[in-house]
Amino acid sequence: MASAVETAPTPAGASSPTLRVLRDKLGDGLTGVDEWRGDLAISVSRRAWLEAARTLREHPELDYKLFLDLCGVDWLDKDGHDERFEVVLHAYSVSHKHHVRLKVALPENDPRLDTLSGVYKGANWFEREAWDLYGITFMGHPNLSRILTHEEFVGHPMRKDYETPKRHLLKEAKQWLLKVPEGSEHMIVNIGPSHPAMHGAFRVQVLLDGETIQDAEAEIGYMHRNFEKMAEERSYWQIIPYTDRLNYCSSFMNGHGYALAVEKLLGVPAPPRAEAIRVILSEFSRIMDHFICIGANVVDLGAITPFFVVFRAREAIYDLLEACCGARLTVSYVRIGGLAQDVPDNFDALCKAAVVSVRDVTDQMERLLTRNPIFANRFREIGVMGAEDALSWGWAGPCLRGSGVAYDVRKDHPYSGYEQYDFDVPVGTVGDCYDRYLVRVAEIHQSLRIIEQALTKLPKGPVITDDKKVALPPKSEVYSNIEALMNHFKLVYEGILPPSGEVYGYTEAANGELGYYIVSDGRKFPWRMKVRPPCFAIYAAFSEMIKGGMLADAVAIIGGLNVIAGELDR
Amino acid sequence: MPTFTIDGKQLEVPTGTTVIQAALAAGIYVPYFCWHPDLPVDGNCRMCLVEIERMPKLQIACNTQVTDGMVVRTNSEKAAQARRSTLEFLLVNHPIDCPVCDQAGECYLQDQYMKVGLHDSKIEIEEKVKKRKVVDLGPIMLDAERCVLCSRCLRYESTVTGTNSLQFVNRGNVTQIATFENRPIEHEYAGNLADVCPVGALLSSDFRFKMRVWFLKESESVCPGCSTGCNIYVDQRDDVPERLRPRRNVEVNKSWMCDPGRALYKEIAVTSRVSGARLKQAKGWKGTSVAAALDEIGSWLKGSGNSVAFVASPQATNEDLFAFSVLARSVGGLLDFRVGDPQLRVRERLDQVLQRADRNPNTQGALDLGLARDGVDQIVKRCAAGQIKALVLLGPELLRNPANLDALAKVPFIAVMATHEGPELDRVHAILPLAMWAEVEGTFTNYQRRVQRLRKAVAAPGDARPGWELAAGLLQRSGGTLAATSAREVFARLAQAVPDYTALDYKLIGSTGRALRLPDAAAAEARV
Repeated sequence: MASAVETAPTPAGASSPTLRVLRDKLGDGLTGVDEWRGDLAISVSRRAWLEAARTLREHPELDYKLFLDLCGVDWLDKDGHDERFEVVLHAYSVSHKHHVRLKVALPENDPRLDTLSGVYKGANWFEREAWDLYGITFMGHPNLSRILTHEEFVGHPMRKDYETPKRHLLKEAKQWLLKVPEGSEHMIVNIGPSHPAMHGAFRVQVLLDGETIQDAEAEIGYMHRNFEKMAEERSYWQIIPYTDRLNYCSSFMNGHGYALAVEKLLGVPAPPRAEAIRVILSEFSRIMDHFICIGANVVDLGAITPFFVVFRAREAIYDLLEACCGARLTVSYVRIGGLAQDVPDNFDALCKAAVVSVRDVTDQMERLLTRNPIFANRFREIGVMGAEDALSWGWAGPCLRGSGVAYDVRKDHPYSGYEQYDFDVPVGTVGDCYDRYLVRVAEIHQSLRIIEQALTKLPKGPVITDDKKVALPPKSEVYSNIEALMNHFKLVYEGILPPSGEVYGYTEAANGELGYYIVSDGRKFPWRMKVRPPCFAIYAAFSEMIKGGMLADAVAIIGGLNVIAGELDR
Repeated sequence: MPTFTIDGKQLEVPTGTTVIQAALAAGIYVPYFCWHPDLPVDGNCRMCLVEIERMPKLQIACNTQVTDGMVVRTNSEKAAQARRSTLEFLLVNHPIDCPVCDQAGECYLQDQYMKVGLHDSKIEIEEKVKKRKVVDLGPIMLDAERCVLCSRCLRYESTVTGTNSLQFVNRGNVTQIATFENRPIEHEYAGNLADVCPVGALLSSDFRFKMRVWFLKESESVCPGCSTGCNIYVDQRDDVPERLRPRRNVEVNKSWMCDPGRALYKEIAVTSRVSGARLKQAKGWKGTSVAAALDEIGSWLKGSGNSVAFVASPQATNEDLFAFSVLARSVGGLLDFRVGDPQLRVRERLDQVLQRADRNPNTQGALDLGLARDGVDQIVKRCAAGQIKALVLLGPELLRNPANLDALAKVPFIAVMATHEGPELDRVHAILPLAMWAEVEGTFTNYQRRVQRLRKAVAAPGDARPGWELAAGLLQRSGGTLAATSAREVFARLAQAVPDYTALDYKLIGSTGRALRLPDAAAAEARV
């Protein structure tokens, strides 16, 4: 994709200040630039990598403060790629509302690169992941160890020459994540992997002095199934059900984001009715997700009633999803280019009933919690995260907005018609657990506003594109004429064949910016599909946040971060 | 050498090249049904229409020769519209058969609908003309409704086999292909008809309804059926080969292969395979690990001094033969492979199409590697005289000749590397499980002295492994070493040791092979 800067007839991204600044700063270090489907991608040499990332973040004209994603790509035996490996960074500038992709090629025999963990705090875990899955070494990394696979794993599973069915048995789990200082009487306590306060199977080991946490280290990967490797062996629509298993509390939104990313790759938009339905169901899913986060969070603190209160509304939303597609939890309702089928006739009524139910339980929940001193005292001034740090860790969504940064993809880069709806982006001021709670509650109200507007404007028409290379023909046609039948066959066994190229598609999921970085080589399977999982970046900060605090506060903090293992471990 | 422009690309092509040949060579897509690289041009399907500057009408790319300065556009609006209409016409009477048609998945109609069609149907089912379906022509099933009347099969029958079994009957909307009185197709090259048919009109009776083709994974290989060495694909799913298909190689088999060759996949995934090692003991056979069997054979070799003999097989790959010969030389003793004198028939034709009298794929390779050394008769004679203490066989051919039995009965220890169970294996004392041609990486050298690669398509059953690995195991136990851990490395050793093979490696051999120089007399014999 990358073309030499000098030889490109009309230099891609020529007007972009990013390119100008980087070119001034790096000179020869900038090796290529490409702009496709609105994504600016800049390739740099290995020497210039650290400098380039630092410039992106610190240069006032660029200000790419928000770390989004860092991942490896394996170009094994691919024409047009002299070097086997590639490391790709995605970052975002909140002030200039602009994404950037920074790429560097690494040779097969020496895949080493400077660590960015000194530039972006969030790079730490993402680089560990790139090492774990691709064997790319990050020089100067403070703790370059396995993160998604286990200690006894052999090889790097995302490499193209790693045989997919190969499994490795973990015989002895890692007992100590932390070192107990010599002669210390401090106590080591494991929270998780199976613990009621850990929302899923993940583990934190803490070193306690009394009830104060001296040191903490997180271990994840218990639910790792390598969704991204599976995606490399599935056609584009076979991937949809897997996306449901990312953040399974709001599965519809994952599919929505995925479909948009593939639609961006294909250049095939979904029809307006499908987009409006997607918005409605996504907002309901967001509400559910927030309910679960808040409900479970307060359960951890000992208040069980609000949990049952909010789950009443969740049932109404599940009924709505079931009426639309037959499934409740893992819905698989989106399709590339639209939706599997139109909504039922009573969709409007079901939505309105759900809205009433949500409004009702939200009011109750707020009466139970917001001014409840027991609750507020457990949340206030706990787990404080400053705006600058939150951006550096790669936080997004309600957690980032709780820290006072008003970045919301729906507002700043509207998709699926969000620009038509009037809504606010609530932000916090302190960045503590209480702010994150308040933001979530406020967002529930905003989501209801969006749903109500979308319902009144819900356009008529088809719910899936009529592009025959993307959407299956209607069954009535398939069974009655050879053209549609062949169309159906080809699409099912051959899949969708996108153009070669790469896109980063991003949406505002319940936990923040959910990104899909899709690299296509024109075949039926994606060459690479990287999910930017919002809670991976959020949880990366957790062990730092709880250090010096009380053990009981750690429990309050983790619930409010809403870490979902399906998305965390992929 | 005319120079011309196609879709904005300047190309120089040899005189006489047609537009479709030039386009396909340049990676430019031109759809077609009736054109076939190894059949005469007919130009009847009208699918390959392209726009050529200064020609008022669209031209068919398959029958238009490139001239100097020609400007061709394959994807202009006019050409695209014409193709779409052509396809629409071809589909007017096409039945709604994909779900019950084996061609689905490799059907030109399906492919081209997605590439150039994408139109909506204008025909009701009731309007379609009905024709004959499920006509059993022996190895081929005919469905006249699916036929697009491209005449590929007619041209194949007239120019390749010369049998002319198929013809068009009737005219207009009701034209169809047929054999005289629906007689079956009786020659040994019928399978190719299913391959040349671009649609589901002619299907293989053998493969019919066995497997959906999109589940299959193909591997490049070489047919082991005779010394011709036709290039093939092994199509497998879950380590079970489902069919063999010819792979185009202009120098060897063009796009064809024979029916006996096609049937060879049936020998691979069968229950009669030797899947483990075993040793004969007083009370009968005892299964053991391969390593234990190698230990036993190795100790016999050690204890027998020079009184040993090795008989290889021209069914084995060059890698197996090389390792086996290194073993024989290292241990000492007699060595040969010419059971039944295959070398006399290696270039003898069996018919005028492809098959040869030597039913071994690698006689030439065995000759090149110097395995024709001491004479099989000599070995049998020495056995009869009680002078052979241990006999190691790569392949059981020697055991199958009843004339040898008395002589072999005098050998105290016979070990055989075998792929299939059979009564002849009762005469030996140790059996090693041998992987078959589709289960290994390796090379065969065909009658032209063309070295061609086999690739591993399926996993070998149980403990079965390539012959070179077994030979290397024995070599190690008799104090030698092969210094190779993969077929690729064995071939590298072979290339160092065997004159003429010196310059070769797997990469150079590639997918269509490398021909070595033949001795002049043999070259005259091999000339097609």
